[in-house]
Amino acid sequence: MNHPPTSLDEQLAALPRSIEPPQDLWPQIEAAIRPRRRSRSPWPLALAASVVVAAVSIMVTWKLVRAPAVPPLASNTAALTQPATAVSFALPQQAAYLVARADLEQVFRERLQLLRPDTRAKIEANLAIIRTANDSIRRSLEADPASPLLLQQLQSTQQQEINLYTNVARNTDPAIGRSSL
Amino acid sequence: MSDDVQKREIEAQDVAQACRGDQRAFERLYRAHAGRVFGVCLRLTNQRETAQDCTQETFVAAWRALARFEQRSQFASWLYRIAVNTALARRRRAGLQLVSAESHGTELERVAADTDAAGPIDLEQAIGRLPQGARDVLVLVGLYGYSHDEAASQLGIAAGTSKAQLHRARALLAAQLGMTAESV
Repeated sequence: MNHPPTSLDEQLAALPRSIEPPQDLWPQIEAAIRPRRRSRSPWPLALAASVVVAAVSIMVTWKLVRAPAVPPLASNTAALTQPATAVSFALPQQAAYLVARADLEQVFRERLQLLRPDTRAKIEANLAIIRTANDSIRRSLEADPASPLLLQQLQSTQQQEINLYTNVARNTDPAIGRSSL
Repeated sequence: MSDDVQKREIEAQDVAQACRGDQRAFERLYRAHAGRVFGVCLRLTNQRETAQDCTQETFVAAWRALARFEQRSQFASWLYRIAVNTALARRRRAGLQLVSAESHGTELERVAADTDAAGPIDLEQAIGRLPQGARDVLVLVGLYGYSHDEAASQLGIAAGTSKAQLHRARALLAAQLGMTAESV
């Protein structure tokens, strides 16, 4: 014969751990996890962004790998007598980066017009800061083309620029319906 | 092969399939664990609708995080951790505040007085009436078998605080249920 639980521990142990939800929640969960058909516009953006990220990464990695850890004396002497070499933007990766960035920037410029003037002004101010930093790093790279630190900073500012473009494009995507920024 | 072992093997297969994107396998996991997830969410939030939302959020979050799930660990423990985090985060978003520890003494008297006025109540109701800090620990440690360290980690408190809150919860429950010291 079962006795009703008397002590607090017995009563706690007797409580069910599982409580069925009042309704089946699976249909809502399934709807949330179902792969959505995405509108056409984000794909080229995502693709362009990934090309840019890949290109920047490859470029920086390439430069880092190519750079000697400790420049030989001869190189230092040459650097004093020859004009400094700018970062080679003739790299194929850089060309891909520039094309992809131009595509992104075009979408960004179009979408920027959908934003409120004060928001637009803030974003343009942020972009100006990023570009100023970018230009400054490029100038420094002309004097010290193999500097891993400068190359990483360049990658960082380029990435920030791309992030800004993609964030604006995503948040103003008419297919998603976010327009109150 | 025992039923438990067989069940675990079937679940491991479902987890592996779900990790590869099989929604039917994930539905089976939902069916197996929805009750416990809803149970812990309900007891932590004290609101049925919120608990339903948390249950949904938990499974959606789990689906999205499946790629990061290490199959060596137990799926159920991993899922319940997500459920607890989801319920706690939801509660934080709702701006519900923890009752301060200082109010402990007066609270005990108030609970006892309420119980006298309202007559006997069941244990589930009594748990629901506990102050949040005490209820959290009682639910996690007393009901769902977490260690104090695990509960403290999830609740963002010290293990010592967890022990103190459990003690407090038990005292408050005993007062509500009109239990004597011996039966606690």
